[in-house]
Amino acid sequence: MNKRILVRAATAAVLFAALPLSAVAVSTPTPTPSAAQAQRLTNLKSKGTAEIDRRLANLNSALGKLNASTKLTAANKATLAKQIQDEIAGLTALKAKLAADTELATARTDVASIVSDYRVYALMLPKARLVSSADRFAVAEDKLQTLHDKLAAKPLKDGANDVAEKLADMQAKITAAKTISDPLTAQLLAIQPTDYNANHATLVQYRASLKTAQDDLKAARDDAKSVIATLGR
Amino acid sequence: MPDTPSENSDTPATQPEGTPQVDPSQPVADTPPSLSPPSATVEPFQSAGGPPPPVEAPKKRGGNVVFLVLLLLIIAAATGGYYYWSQGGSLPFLGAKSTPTPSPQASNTSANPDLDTAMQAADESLGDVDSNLANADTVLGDKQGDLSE
Repeated sequence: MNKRILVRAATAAVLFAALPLSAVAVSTPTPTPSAAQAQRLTNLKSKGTAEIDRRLANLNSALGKLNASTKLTAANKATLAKQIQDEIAGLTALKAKLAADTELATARTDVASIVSDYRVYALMLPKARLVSSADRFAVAEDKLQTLHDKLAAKPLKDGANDVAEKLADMQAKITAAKTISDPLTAQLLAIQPTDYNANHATLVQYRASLKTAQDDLKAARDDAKSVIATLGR
Repeated sequence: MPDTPSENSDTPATQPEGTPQVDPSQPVADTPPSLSPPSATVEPFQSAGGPPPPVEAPKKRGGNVVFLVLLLLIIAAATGGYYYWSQGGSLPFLGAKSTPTPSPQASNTSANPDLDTAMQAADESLGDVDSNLANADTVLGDKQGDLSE
């Protein structure tokens, strides 16, 4: 009997204690559709602004490195610098436009264009690196050609029959590397974000070409070492 | 005080027990030699006048000497081998060259300094290419966590 009374009292106490919570829940105002959209717009603009700032910081850093570089040719350096500066200007304008957006749909379009219209991480920054690498190839090819010419001018000793063969191979490898790397810079500089949108593997094929040229140059260097060893005997 | 007399002691050193007293007035030849008391152990063959028995100890000593000589030979061979190896396989007393032959690379350095310079420049530029391509690979693979790109 006493037990039943105790259970009832406990139940009543729990219900009584829960009363304020239900009252609060009921009293919380349900957001209207327009208020929810405004909140989503604010969130989207905040996220978009952060993404633009991140890209601007990276582009400015790349531009600083490019201006400090002494190994790029002047023409390539100027072209690349202009492309980076154009992206910085475009993203800065987009940041201002996004801040002024009042419609959720417009803001969505603007935020999407941060990626699709600029392709900072997928294209511009790797492209700048590959152009820089292609210029290094030109330097290495020139050095190896100089070495080849010096070796070819050396008088051949008796028993050094394979020297001519090695020198011919060295020249062939240098020429093959030049054939790949010479037009590469111009091709890389011409790639635009729209090209990347159409083909995401566009940079990969250029990277693969540079790998082939790199292997050619290493083979040419090995030929030169072999010739030097033979001549020194 | 110690029992052993010191050098400065006034006390004369006592004769050891059993030592015969020699009279200086008597001729030495007439004096029969005094012998120390016989030892308790008597060697039977000597006393019997027979030939000395074959002793084992000298044989063992010879074995040790042979072992030592062998050890020395092994050490000498190992040292010679090491020298042979360290000299690039040419012993000075076997060949005409007493000094190690300089490698072709070393001779090139002195013979063709222009080639060395050109080779070094080519190597450096290839290293530059390598490091640049490695950087390009890093940037190519880096999407900054933005999967949409």
